[in-house]
Amino acid sequence: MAKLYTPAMAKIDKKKAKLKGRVRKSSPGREAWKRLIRNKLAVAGMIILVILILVAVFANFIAPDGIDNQVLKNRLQPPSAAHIMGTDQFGRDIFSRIVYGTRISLPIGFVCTVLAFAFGGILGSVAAYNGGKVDNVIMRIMDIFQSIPPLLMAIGIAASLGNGVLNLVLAISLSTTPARSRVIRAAILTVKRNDYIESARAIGASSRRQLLRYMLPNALGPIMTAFTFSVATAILTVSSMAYIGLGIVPPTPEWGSMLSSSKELLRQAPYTLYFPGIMIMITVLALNLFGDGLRDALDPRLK
Amino acid sequence: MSENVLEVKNLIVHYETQDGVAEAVNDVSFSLKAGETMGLVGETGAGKTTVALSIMGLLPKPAGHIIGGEILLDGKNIVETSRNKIKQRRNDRMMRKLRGNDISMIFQDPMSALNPVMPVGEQIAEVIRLHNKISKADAVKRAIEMMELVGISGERYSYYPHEFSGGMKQRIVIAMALACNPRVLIADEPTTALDVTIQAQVLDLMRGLKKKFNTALLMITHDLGVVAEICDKCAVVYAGQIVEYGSIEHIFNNPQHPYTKALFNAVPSLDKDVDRLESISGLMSDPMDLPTHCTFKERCTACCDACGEIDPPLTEIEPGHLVRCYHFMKETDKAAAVAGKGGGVAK
Amino acid sequence: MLKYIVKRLLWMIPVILGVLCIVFVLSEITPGDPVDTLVGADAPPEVKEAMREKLGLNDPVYVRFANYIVKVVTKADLGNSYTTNQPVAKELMVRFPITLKLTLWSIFVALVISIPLGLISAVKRYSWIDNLSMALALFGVSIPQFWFGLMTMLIFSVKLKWFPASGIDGTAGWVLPVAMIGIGNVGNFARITRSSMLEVIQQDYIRTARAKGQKEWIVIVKHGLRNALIPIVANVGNVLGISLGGAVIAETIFSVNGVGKYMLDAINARNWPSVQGGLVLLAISFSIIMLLVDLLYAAIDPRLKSEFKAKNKIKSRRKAVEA
Repeated sequence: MAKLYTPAMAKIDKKKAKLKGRVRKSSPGREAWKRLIRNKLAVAGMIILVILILVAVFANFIAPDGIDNQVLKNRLQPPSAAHIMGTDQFGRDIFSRIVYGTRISLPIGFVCTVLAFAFGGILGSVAAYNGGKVDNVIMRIMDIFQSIPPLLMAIGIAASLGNGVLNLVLAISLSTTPARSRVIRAAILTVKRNDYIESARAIGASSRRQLLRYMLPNALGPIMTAFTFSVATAILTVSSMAYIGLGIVPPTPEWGSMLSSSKELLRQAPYTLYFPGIMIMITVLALNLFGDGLRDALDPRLK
Repeated sequence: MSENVLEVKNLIVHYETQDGVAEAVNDVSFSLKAGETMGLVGETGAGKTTVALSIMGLLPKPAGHIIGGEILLDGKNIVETSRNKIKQRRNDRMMRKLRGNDISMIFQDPMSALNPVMPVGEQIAEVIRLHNKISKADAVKRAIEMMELVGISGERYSYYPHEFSGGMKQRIVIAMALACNPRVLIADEPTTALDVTIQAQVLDLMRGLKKKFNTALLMITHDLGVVAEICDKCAVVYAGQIVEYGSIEHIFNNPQHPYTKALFNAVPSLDKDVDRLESISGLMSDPMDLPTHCTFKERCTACCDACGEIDPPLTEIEPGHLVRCYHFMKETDKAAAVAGKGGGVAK
Repeated sequence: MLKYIVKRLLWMIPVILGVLCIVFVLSEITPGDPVDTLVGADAPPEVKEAMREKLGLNDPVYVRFANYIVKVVTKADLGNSYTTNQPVAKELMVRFPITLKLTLWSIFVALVISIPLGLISAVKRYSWIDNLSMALALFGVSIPQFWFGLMTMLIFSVKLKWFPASGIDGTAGWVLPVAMIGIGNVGNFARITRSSMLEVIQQDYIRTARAKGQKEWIVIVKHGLRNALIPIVANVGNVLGISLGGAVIAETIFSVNGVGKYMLDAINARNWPSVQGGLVLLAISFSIIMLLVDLLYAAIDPRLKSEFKAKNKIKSRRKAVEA
């Protein structure tokens, strides 16, 4: 029954594993992509995101006015041909500020998420890969961090670090790290149970190679979906914090911060509150649509 | 001769999906008497389960439709082929009263057939209370009796499904199916998911209970061993059609259809010493795209040119033994079929 | 089961210590001198020094940390507010019930609205009612909570004058804050209910229940819903966190005198003991509610309970073998 495992067999196995890896990586990915672009809502989300990115890149060509161009005689003008979204209490063109705002919300949301996934990724994959005591210790520490709700944690960190974009990014990415480490740990644990990891171990792949070459690529699907939704959450968090005066402060045209400085105008000039909120909602909506599409494309049986 | 309890006549079932229409069952007819057991044999995708679900009125919605034919329970038709919503609803209501009470079904996988968050006893009592006007306490008593009957201690009434093994779960499913003493029991591959040793126990149990309650049993399986074990007669199904139908002696001692023969060749035998088992080459025709000629032609070892033109009808080759194959057609039918180009449904 | 509860309660000790540690570190890295906020930046140095000595700010870090923990644990003393000089614990206890009530009500209302919505969506998949409720749910998860609060305030308080714009005196005052905190959860729950219900409906045990001749809606509710609720309960920790965070913002928008507004006012005034105290209180109550949720989880899913029992059995057997 038991045959000796010869080097020649190992070679064949290696070839097989390679082949398996290649087949697994390319063809399901292409299938998922096909499903994704057949999904109208997901495509709509993608188009909105592309438009927002283009607006951010070409903001100085699109915006008719500057970020902080205060023209006091133009204070609080309702939307008109000259100012299609009206002006605020300092006489600034709201449309221009909204346009420049795309340069803030999207990149900050993206960077916060990248950092959270990087920190969480290291912790989560180390925990999942090693299992046992290492896993237990890391996850218990994450438990403790998670016993403070993420928004409160972000508020606490941002308040103690002081205002500023960098501090805000740090606050949001640190406060969401525990949750992201769980996502990555779960994704890797699911993959770890598959046979091809066993075969990778059988051909003597180093542990770093197993993790980077075999586990992470195969766990990529659920991680990508979670990433998209996390960017949406991060954008909401940034604007909520700006609204309560933490992180980004005026005159930076962050949409939440714009709402914060106009909140007193609720009765007097409510139109100053419409457009920043709508922009946040459209951005988050686009990300959610795209994320939904991604999830359905990667796991079609859930739809 | 007692009356037929269940009679299926010319049943046609289609699944209408986005990709097209799948002709899952094409003109299937058979009958069952009280206490009789019939095997429905065929490979995966042949339409066996669809037949069962049609009888239960549980075809998956909205894709599954009974296009034509009749299913008679005690001589009364229980199929509504009209798409009229009111008629459908009336039929649904009637079927609900029959399900679990007059017709029951045992599903293939006992692991997932029980609700994981409900004690097993309660799941048995549920069906009892649905169809009998009795108090909750009496229903519990009956449920415990049923559990004892299938060999599970009544003390385990309030245990959850995950606390039982696969074989035990299947016993509970059987208890649930028989709790209201149905006239017809449909068992859809009841032993496939079980260990071989447990399979025999479950079959024994079913045979005993069937005798006790005088229930007609429709046994769906791909395992000829199970058929030999428990059935009185047998229908071999291929691509939604019955290709051979007869008593157990007919099928086992004198198989005639090439497909039936091939099935027997694919089963290991104790008497014959063979080096390799024969497999049936090729795949079953796609139900989305069935040929107009004999559906088995492409895989048949005995096919001739005429098989590619004629869709042979079931032909009686000896009393009670029917075969659907060109080679067994009466010469007159052959001539008529060639003349009519396409042929058919001759009875 | 009792053993499980005790174990979970014991686990709260390191959690609370960890939270205290995090909060202490946060206060340490805060720039600016708390004494400046207390006695004014241009007070004479002797006064400042005296104040510093009085607050124990001259001790080394570890002494202050130890003192802080001992005080919190033994006397439930969270220090005094820099602005009012009142004990923080006392100030918090007045406000805490309001925040808790706001959070729990919003979750309750969200559940009551969203579960039927998700259920109908799953059962009538791809119908107009499914499309409509999923579109609403998508807006629910995409709309910024605070902006929803502002807009509802604009419509229902300023224009229609149905509800007060600030304060929670009387029932009417609760409507808008609860709606604001709950809006995201409605979307969230409805989406989760739908997808988990869709999965449950395809399970064999649903077919078994239908095969019994049970009425369709009883099959869905009795056999389907309880199974479909499991992922919702599993997600409730997440939800609770979001709701507590939402409550903080809702309290500032609607001027509700809860823990959230207290903390944000304290942040603006650099009143650290109050911020710390608020964080500690919310974190502890969060952990307690999570414990209750886990117990509920075990009650809904019997598989979990016996899994725990089995683990214990293995452990005790192993011990018996070793002994």
